[in-house]
Amino acid sequence: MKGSWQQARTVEARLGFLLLGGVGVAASLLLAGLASFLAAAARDGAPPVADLLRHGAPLTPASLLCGLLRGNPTALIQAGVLALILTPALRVAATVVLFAAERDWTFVAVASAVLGMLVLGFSGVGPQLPR
Amino acid sequence: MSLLVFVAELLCASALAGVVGSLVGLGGGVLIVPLLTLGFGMDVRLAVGASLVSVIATSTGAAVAYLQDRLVNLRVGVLLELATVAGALTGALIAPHLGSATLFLLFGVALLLSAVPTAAKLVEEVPQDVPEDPLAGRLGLSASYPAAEGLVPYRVARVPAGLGVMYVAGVLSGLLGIGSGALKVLAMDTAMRLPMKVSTATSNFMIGVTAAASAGVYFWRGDVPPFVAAPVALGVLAGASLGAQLLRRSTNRTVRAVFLPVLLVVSLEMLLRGLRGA
Repeated sequence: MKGSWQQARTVEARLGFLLLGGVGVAASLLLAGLASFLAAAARDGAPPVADLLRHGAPLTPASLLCGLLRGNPTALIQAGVLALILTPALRVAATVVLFAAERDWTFVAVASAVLGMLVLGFSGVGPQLPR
Repeated sequence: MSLLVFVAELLCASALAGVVGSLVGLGGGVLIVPLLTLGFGMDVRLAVGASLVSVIATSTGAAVAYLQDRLVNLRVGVLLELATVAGALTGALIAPHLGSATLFLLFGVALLLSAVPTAAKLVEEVPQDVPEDPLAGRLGLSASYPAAEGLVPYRVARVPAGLGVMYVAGVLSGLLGIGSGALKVLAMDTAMRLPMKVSTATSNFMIGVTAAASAGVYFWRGDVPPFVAAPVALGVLAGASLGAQLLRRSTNRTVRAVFLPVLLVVSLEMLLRGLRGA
């Protein structure tokens, strides 16, 4: 029992590292996107601020990937937002593994259900709702 | 307004919201939506999308510190996430069907609610003589947490009531882009009778997961404006870590006293906007 406590503590430390890493990656992407957007605006002229305050078109993974390959500042920021959204989900996935290692199958089921709902929401469950 | 000024103003205002939010323990998200709607004239649903992103950033950053203190009750957290995540998806999916006036009204009410635990510490540090819920016994929820005087054991009461309040907290989070910390405290401290340190840490652990659930829906729908979300998230993140540093050196009683009137004025302003039909 004591062994598993020790083990759990190391796992917690690693999880903390994972969370920090996720936030770090996300923050760097946001910063890079914002900086390159401002640089482009200084070079080519700034878009009106009102344009930034509108609803965007619905995103798809393909459109995001295309933008990233072109080094589009918008896509860089969106990738940062994505990294932020995925970090807690990764945390839940790690919890499933943690409970499985403790052979606590009830909580493997509970944590998997939470993860399932996150995936459902993330994969765009429901119709594209009208605005 | 020029672009550079706009981004700089967003950064600074969000950093300030982050500092204040972390000093009073509200997480900043509750200030971002009023800031963006009342201050910058943004559409409320876009403000919610941007706010959700900053909620994930701050709660994930803070979660690391709590993990190391071993205050989080992982079983309670994951169990209650069933309710908050279901609620968050519900909130994100019904948000487009509610007019912005309704959202303003709901936000005003939620903000007033969050003032309650800020105004008074309503709960005991470690509740005594808690009758354990049989469900909590079967799931092994009761546990202990480390303190200066050694391990402090505690028991968990009224699990179904806790799940119910958490679902509502999730819906509000998905609708309004806030962490719903006040409702989470209500569920865990008042209904389930968890010690305050444990419920604070566990609630923080859950906020990121809850916000991530609805943020995914907003993100793919195109309701997270990138050039607002980036400065807001960066600003709040920087402000919150500064706030955490300050918190070590000052008591937060004075901060609460200063913050409370601000909270009241902002919630009245949001209610008024709702009543005027946004």
